[in-house]
Amino acid sequence: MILVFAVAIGLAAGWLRARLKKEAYHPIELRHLWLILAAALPQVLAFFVPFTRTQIPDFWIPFLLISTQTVLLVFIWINRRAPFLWMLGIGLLLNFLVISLNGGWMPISPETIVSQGVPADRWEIGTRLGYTKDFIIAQEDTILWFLSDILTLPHWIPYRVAFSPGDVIIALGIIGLLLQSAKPEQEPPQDSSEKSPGQ
Amino acid sequence: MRMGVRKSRKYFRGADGRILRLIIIIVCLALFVLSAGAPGGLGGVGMNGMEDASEGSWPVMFRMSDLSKGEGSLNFYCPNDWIPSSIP
Repeated sequence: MILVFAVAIGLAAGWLRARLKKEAYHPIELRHLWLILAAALPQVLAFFVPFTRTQIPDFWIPFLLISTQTVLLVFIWINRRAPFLWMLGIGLLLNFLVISLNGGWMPISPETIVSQGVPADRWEIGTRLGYTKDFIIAQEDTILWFLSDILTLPHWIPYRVAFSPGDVIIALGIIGLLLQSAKPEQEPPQDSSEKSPGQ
Repeated sequence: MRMGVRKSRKYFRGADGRILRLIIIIVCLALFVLSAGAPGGLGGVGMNGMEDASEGSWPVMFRMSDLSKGEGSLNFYCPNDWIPSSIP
């Protein structure tokens, strides 16, 4: 959910930039948006909807996560010419890499959980963290641990979350993409007869 | 007059189209980040997978599947600042 804040920040920044430049805020054109919906729907059901996420067995999650993120990579490739999509692609690829190499789960270390003050009796190594995409694995057993959920927010922010370097790059990419949207709409090409009425 | 109506229709069609496109893009990008990112909610606002006991505090964390198997228990975590000072 923390990444949705990046969308809000990017939207606000893009809109403000457009206002300062006295231009209309135009959304960027992206193709095959249905791929996002196709990838997001299974994840929303598996991680966010309280009723459905309890019904989906844990052994389905790695397959679901890897397949849906593959669909998102296809979406990125199709729209690779759009500004800042490469950044989204890198962030997604880093997450995809660490998830794929660690059994289809995003690893989170006990150290990260403890650093956030979670009582020791609330978690166990080798189990899923609540209904998240995270699986609790010791750091020494994690492949590419530095790409896993190792980052946390400062303690003065009352929001307890661990996130990966890939998540940070995705957040920056989204902000850049929405900021870049504040460009003036291109004028449609004029008819040649209008350009040279005398001819 | 006819020209003005045509112009205003064109204007509203353009404005509506732009807003609609913007809404679609924002929704899609929000879904994209939810699907592409993998932050682990550990508590507080917007936490996934754990029941929120109080914003900013550690949650009561259990899974119904564990409870149904008898593997879990409803041990509520109570932060120190919840305990009234009158209790010894």
